[in-house]
Amino acid sequence: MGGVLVMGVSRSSSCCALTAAVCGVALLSIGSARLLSAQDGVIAGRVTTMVPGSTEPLVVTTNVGVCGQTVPDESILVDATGGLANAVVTVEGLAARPETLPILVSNDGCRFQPRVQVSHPGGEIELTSADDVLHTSHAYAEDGRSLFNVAIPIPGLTITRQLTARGLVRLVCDTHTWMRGFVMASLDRAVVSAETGSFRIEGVSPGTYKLRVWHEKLQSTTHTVSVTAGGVTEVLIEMKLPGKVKS
Amino acid sequence: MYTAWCASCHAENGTGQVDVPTVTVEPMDFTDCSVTTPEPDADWELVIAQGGPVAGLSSQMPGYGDSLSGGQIHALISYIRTFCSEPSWPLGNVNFSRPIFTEKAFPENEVVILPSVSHGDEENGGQGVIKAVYERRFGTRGQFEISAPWRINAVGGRSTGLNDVTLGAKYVLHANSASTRILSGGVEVKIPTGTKNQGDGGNTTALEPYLLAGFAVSDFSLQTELKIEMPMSDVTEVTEVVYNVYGGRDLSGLPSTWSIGIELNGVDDRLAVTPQLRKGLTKTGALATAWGVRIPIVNRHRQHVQWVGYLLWEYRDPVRAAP
Repeated sequence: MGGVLVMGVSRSSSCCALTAAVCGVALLSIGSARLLSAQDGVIAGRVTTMVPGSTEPLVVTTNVGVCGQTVPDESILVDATGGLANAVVTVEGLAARPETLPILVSNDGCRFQPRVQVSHPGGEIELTSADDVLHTSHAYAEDGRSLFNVAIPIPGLTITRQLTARGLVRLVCDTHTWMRGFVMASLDRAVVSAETGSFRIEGVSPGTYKLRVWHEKLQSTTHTVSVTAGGVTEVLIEMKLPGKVKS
Repeated sequence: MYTAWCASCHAENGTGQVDVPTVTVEPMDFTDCSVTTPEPDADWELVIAQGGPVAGLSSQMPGYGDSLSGGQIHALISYIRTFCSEPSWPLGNVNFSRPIFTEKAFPENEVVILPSVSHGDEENGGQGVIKAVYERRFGTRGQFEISAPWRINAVGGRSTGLNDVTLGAKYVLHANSASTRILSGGVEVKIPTGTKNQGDGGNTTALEPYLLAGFAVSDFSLQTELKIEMPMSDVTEVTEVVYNVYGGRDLSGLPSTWSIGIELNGVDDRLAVTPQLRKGLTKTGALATAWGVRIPIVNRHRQHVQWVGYLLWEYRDPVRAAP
């Protein structure tokens, strides 16, 4: 084979230099990667509210035998110290991580579980049921367009669809009208606040960002945060009732 | 299966009236034979598998295609058909797409506008005719019809004229239980409303009995018509024989499908072929259009090439898709 460079013993010094150079470049690359993540910051915080959590259970109007007489109203979930669950915090301008795993929504106890999740436009959603009753998982886009409606007549079946929309996708069940679920299909990075209201967003490049915070019942808010290299930016977000009644 | 998977919206008795409705639209009343029997099984299979929007119906009807097998869906359809308890209604599986010339055997509630344009010879110039047809069903198997053709001539400047108006009625004589064959008979009365000296008919009142048949042969439909014309003054004298045969195929199962077909059209000893295309204009299929060209093949010197078509509106069905 032609073109093969053979390094003779007489070139040992240049060989070492070449090896050192190659190793150096490699180390620099690995080092650079670590340096880059060390440069990223974190946005950590808590979503709170003074609005009392929903305590009145919802009356079950169909299939009482499977769903029970009532189901809990989970539209406003507030813990003992005012932490608000199921708020979606979106970081405008920070690209969502490429997510290859589908999200899973279960019709369980005649409720959509989890109630609120994040995905991205075109993301896959798996729908299943744990209830021995006819459920339908009907998704609507923000503009009211129906995206899909799948019947799950038998528990244990899993049906996969795609979220062909951007923004808030609302899930309803056409046989159990109290059921609600939400998926934020976002191109920006987004997270859902935990039961305590807390959230954490890692891998944020330094800079100034606008956070958009959404909740199914409370007034959306925005917050501007500055993220420093390697720092943790704390933010407290309070949500209030909307000026107009939100249905 | 029906109780567990359908009755919560469609009701145990198929009427769609439930004590606690969970959907905002009124589901189809399966006990209403006039609404359900004209629907082919294939349309119902489509909606059950893919949900309402595939046929322009509400998205509140979900798709069961991921959870039920084809066999289960067929079984559900067979059960749902039993909610119509009057056996004399012909079923939608023989409700074939309407050809341009061949009259269809299945009774319809529709309005059809049929334009035709022929390029005349040098003397006569071109001629256009627009025919308006109104069809309305009666009973389980009958249909009335009134049709009025209006001629527009291009020769020697514009002239228009009403041709002979026709009143008719037809009745389904036979539709077999497996529902792939249909035979209807009917009669039309042609009234001399046209102006005789302009060549618009206007000669005499004529009686036109006819027979219509339709068959499904795998994916194709074959439709035939045989009609004879006799003047009322002497019904033993046959003045015209019309015979049409159509063979065609829907290219998909959707109500908005394209269809292709070809007709053999005969009037006495003049024969023509009419290749044609048809398209459902809305998702519900309640509006449709067809276009073709009638090409003379036998005794061509006594016929003209005609550009023909129709615009059809089934006025009892929803035109636009539901949200």
